[in-house]
Amino acid sequence: MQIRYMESHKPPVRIIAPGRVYRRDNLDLTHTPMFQQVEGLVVGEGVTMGDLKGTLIGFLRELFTPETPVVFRPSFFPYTEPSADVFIGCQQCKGSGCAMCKRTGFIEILGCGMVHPAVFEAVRLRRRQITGFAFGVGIERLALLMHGVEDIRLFYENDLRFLEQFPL
Amino acid sequence: MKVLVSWLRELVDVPVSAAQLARDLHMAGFEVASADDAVIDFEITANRPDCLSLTGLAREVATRYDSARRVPAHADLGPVSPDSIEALRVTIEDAVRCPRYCAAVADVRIGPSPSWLAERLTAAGIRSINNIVDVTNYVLLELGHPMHAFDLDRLAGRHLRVRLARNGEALKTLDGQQRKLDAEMLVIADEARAQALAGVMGGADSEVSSATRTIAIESAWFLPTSVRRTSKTLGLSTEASHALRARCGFRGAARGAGARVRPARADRRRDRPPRLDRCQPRRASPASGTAGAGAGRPGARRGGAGHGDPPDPDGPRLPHRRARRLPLGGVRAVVAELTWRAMWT
Repeated sequence: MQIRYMESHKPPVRIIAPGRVYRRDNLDLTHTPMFQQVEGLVVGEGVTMGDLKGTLIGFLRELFTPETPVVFRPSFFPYTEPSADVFIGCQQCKGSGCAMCKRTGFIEILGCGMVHPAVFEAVRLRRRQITGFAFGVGIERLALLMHGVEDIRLFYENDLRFLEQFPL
Repeated sequence: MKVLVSWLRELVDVPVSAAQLARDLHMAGFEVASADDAVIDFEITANRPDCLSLTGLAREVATRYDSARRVPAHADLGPVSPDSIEALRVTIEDAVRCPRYCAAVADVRIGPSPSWLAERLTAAGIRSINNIVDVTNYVLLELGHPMHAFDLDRLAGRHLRVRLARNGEALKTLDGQQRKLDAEMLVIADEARAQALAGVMGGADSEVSSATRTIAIESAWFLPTSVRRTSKTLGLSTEASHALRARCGFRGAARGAGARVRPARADRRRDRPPRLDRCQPRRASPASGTAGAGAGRPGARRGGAGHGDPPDPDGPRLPHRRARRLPLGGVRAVVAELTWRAMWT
């Protein structure tokens, strides 16, 4: 999505792109091999990691509560450098440790990072001032936390008793 | 990467408990899959193959706590070595794919490993086989540099040739499989035929067995793209091919050879390590100049890594004591070439 958009649009770029993603993952309380993800991309002059952190912290505190703890941890993704995993304080146990957060008090909610220079090369954005950040967040994971759903698999089982709790 | 905490403590001062260490490194980017008082299992991300060893993780620990690190004991190879010694001749016929090949010769008696060694391997999830194979695995865990032991008496002409395979050449690898090679695969051969797939797996014919009396131990530096290609073409991924994804250090090869064996060895190399043009930070900007930020990945020179402010002089700790502070365009930036982190693409 991000590449396709950048190929046809000049910066500044700000997009949000939802879609299905697939990966090899074992089914458990918080993982499924297919899920919906929202990607975000911001590209322009002088975009920094500070903008990334501010945007995501703002978004997560708006979505949950203004006091929600948000933690960035260094990570690795091939298309961003540096990269980070973002955690919020577990909504279920309020940080005291439960099965959902594997007793860590935190739950991983999204991945993000600064767009890798090789990505800009690939879409022929050669100007050095152009930087950007990108993130991807799983919708089910968010819904799980917002509504206190205990098992991500409930979203795919099409049980009406479950689905009717979310009127359109 | 399963890490025995007591072993790690030999290589670096760890001022905290094992549980706290797991928590701290977890938040520093080394995700902990499981941990108890003795062993921590880290999930090392693909960009940090340099941390697939105790030495590599010790470096991270030393940076995290600003504590003292100890290099594992090893014999010093000295500055220049002959390319042949009485017992063994080494010839590099492809200096691009193999700029450095160190070999050591040792008389051995094959038997079980001492229990301390076997226990360390077991803690790391590696099966103890015999003292020689265990030593090569031990050094891999300790330094992150793969090694291989040949049965010297099985090598025709007592000669190791690092060359490309011939199209259709056959090699039976240690796993018992007959492999058909192509002309882009680097092999270690004797005067008659291929005896090992360079950086991937040894051959069955020269495998160390209970009858082995003399071994040639290899510690070499192979071009990562070449190792990767061979490994991919044959569908054969090993600890060694995994570790060699990184430029795990030109010096590492020599250090590996000197680590646990006696000093008869051959060391064949070019005068200088391969150049790192694509990996060096070309310029440090205020945004990317902190603590070697430009050194991590090729092309990662573009800014945006910071918060838009000039680097904080009391900011991140230097990952390496040799890192230098240079005045660049009025901005004091830290430039460090972390040789063990240079990735080849």
